[in-house]
Amino acid sequence: MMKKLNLIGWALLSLIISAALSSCEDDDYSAPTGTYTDGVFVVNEGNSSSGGSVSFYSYEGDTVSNNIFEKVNNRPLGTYVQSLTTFIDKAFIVVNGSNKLEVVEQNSFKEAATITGFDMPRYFTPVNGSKGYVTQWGNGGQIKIVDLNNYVITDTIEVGTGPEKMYSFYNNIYVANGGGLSVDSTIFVINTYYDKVVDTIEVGHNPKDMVIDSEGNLWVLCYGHVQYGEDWSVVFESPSELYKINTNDHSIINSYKISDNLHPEHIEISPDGNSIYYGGGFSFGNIYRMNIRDTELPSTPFSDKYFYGFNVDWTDGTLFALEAPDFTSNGFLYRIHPDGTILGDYEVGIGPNSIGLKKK
Amino acid sequence: MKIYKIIVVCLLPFSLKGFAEEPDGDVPADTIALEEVQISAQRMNQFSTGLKISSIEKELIEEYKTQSLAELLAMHSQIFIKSYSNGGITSPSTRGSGASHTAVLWNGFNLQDPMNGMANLTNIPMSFIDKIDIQQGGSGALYGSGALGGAIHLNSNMPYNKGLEIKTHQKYGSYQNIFNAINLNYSNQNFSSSSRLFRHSSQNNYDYENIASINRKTEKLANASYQRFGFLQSLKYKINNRHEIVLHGWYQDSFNELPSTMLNVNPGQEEQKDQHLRLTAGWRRLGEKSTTIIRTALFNGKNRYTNPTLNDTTNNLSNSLIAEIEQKFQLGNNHLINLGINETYEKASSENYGNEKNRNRMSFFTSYKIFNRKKTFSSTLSFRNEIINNATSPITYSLGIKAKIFDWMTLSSNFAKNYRVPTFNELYWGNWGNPDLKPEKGFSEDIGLTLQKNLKDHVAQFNITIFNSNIDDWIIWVPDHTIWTPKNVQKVWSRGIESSLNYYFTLNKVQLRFNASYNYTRTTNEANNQLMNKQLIYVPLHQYNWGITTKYKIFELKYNESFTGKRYTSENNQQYVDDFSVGNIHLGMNFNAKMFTGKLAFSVNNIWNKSYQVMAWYPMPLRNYNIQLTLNFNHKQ
Repeated sequence: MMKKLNLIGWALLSLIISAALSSCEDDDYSAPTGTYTDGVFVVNEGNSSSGGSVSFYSYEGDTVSNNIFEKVNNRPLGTYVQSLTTFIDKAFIVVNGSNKLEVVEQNSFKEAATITGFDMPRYFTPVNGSKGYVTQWGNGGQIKIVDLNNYVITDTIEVGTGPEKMYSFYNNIYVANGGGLSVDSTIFVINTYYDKVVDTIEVGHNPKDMVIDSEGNLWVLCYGHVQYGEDWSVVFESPSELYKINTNDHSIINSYKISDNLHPEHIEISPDGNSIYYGGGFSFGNIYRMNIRDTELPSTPFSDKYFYGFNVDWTDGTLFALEAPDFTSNGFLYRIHPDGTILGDYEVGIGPNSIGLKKK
Repeated sequence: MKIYKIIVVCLLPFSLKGFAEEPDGDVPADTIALEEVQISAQRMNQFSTGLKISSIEKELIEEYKTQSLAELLAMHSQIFIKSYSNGGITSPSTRGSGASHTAVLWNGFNLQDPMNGMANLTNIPMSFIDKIDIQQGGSGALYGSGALGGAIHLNSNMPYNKGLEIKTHQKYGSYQNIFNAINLNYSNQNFSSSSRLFRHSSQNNYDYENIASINRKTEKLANASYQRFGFLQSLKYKINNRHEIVLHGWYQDSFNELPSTMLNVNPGQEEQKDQHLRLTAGWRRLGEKSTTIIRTALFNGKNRYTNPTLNDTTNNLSNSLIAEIEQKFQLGNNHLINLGINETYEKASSENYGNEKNRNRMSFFTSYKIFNRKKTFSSTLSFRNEIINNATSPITYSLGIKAKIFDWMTLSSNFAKNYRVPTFNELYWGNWGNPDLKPEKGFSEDIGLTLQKNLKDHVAQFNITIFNSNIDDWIIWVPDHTIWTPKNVQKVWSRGIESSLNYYFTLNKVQLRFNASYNYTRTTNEANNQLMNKQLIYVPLHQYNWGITTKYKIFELKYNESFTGKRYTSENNQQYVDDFSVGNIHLGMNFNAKMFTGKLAFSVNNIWNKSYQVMAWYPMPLRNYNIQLTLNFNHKQ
């Protein structure tokens, strides 16, 4: 009898252990704090073991709150968050590794819909109140047309290899065919009424990003192409370049070689449309600023830090630059005044790459 | 800290009963009864003094015959098994170490792949294994590179004089999980042969709750099926009382679809096919005071990985040729000396490497053991020096002590310097591999206490081990401006406690057994950066399992539960996967006829229907069932 009791005792004690262990867990979740009305969203790509996230920088408190999607919706955002675009009252978050577009309410960040059916999506651009375009690398490079009322994919436009950013200008959308894992050297021009490719502009290798200046010229940043051989040595490398293109006839006004072996990934424009900023990316150390009327590239950088990405606030010209020191620990957001002064730095999530702007 | 108190309180009533009589706990006996020693296991049995080694019970091995090694270890060991889906790819983590830090030794030969340093435990069918010993703690001086965190010793048992024996194992379970195996054994006085064949497949399309989706929908796991078959032939021949030859040949073909995480809304498309051929041959000469072993192995591995989304197909081919000679002497009544040379040639090719890569590794190893006449005290000092492509790496060593203080109490302690040579992937992968990598190195120390008491109807065993280990120059992939490249930058400190308890007793023809184990593993990043003092990802702080077995006449009923604490998934410890606990029930019925024995069993896995993940966002199955039938025919001439 004694022995039987012992056994039951053991079982009970084991239960106590389990109970004690589970009560040891601390609760990392805090209730959603406030709303996200006055500030900017920061896109944190994350890494393969921990998913990506979105942070929010608030002007009012001059502070950052991290991981807001998960805090509000109590589920993870996904792997490799690529971009966030705000439009009317929604924010569209492209989650590359999860092959989806998450739609949330801009002010509360509450989930509104998950759009599926993508294959390696990259960026979202609204066309009008009822449709938007999403570039994706899958199936040889496509744009998926998304119905913004029902949140489904309605159609597909075939584009070049590895399409990246889009830039909307009157009835056209320019698409940078960035080459993906190989090479492309075209900008496609799509008429948004017919959803058809109407023109192709030849530029340098792997155009990734574009802006349009105050004079209506399209500036294209070409990353250049790096090709590896059988033994993974570099067998071909083309320079990174900047192209200035007339948006009326799509002729090339000028082109500039940036570097033979350094490859910037981003281009932005000042609110007045008179200065462009280029640089940043995985392997490019500096940000350069150039007046749109200059005929030579600047020789001294605007900033000499390593930024993985940056954006310019179109209201006051402040630069939001993102530092991703490695992809295992948290990155940092820097606010930089157009005169170069650093206004503040803030810890954000892992691998921050860009910001999504809200209207002030 | 709370947890220690609970454990101590739990163990108190047990220890008050007192211990007496009978030697030896879970540490293999320091016997020099030469006949019993297998060619492969000599070093483990005789020179691993002071290391923590626990043997998996024969009965448990029998119960898991229709499953893989991964499934057994996940429920019944103190090793954390990283599993990417039920029956999918797994890797072991011992004492907080990485996937390439646990050596998996099959009949004494290391199965870790030279390309990625891993051994997928799901590809080891239990019907091919007769004996498992788990060693927690490093032992580089004995087993060479890779045994930084621990080692899993797998051995075949080939007795003589058993006549003809035919065994079949069959299983049918949820998700079309089908397992079939046949073992054909024949042995007479000086010859023993064992032929084993298995096939295992499953659709593995289980339902799970997608906690990452917008309404937590229930979804079916896609792209997770697997299919494996294999053949193992073992031969043993005793030429005379002094000479013996052993041969093994193992061919296996394994196909795995690789599911994507629940974060990805598209089903995965990746898959992997592995083909392994493993041939080994050994010769042993037994003398009055000395033993010589010469053995060799040829391992050939083919792995083909395809990812249609990225239009990527990679073929990885590896070959290892191993030759080893080992000589053991006994000096007087109290000393044993072991001397050996191991020569390993590795060759690998892959689209990821460009051209073929190869490496030559030569090791010299020696052990000296001293013991008293009653064999209640023993101590072993071991050294190993490995020369890789003509460059000497630092000498590794270990010192172990084991002392039986009382009949019921044994103390053991071990101190070791360990190492791991870089894998081919780390050295040569793409443009990013780093040929200048140094071997990882580490120190491990542990001290253990084993208590054992055998009475007429009771057997009780208890072990507690405190360990400490430091790994330096741990290789991790880090961004280096333009590329990601592996570097010797990680420093890790791991320390903790492992304890286990076994208690058997018989009461009115009812046999009862209770077992429990608990481990606490604090493993922190010690590199001087933002992540200092953070727990390493995927190292659970707490882990325990316990089980109760009852047997009455032909019936047996078992309940086992395994708990794994939360694991951080981000290096900054801000994200984690929840803890989980899985409970399994097993009901068996044994039947006996003249030449036939058999067992029919029914199992319910995850009986509490818990939704859980081992690796973040890779769902594991809810409650599932299977039925197993084992038949045994034995005819002794």
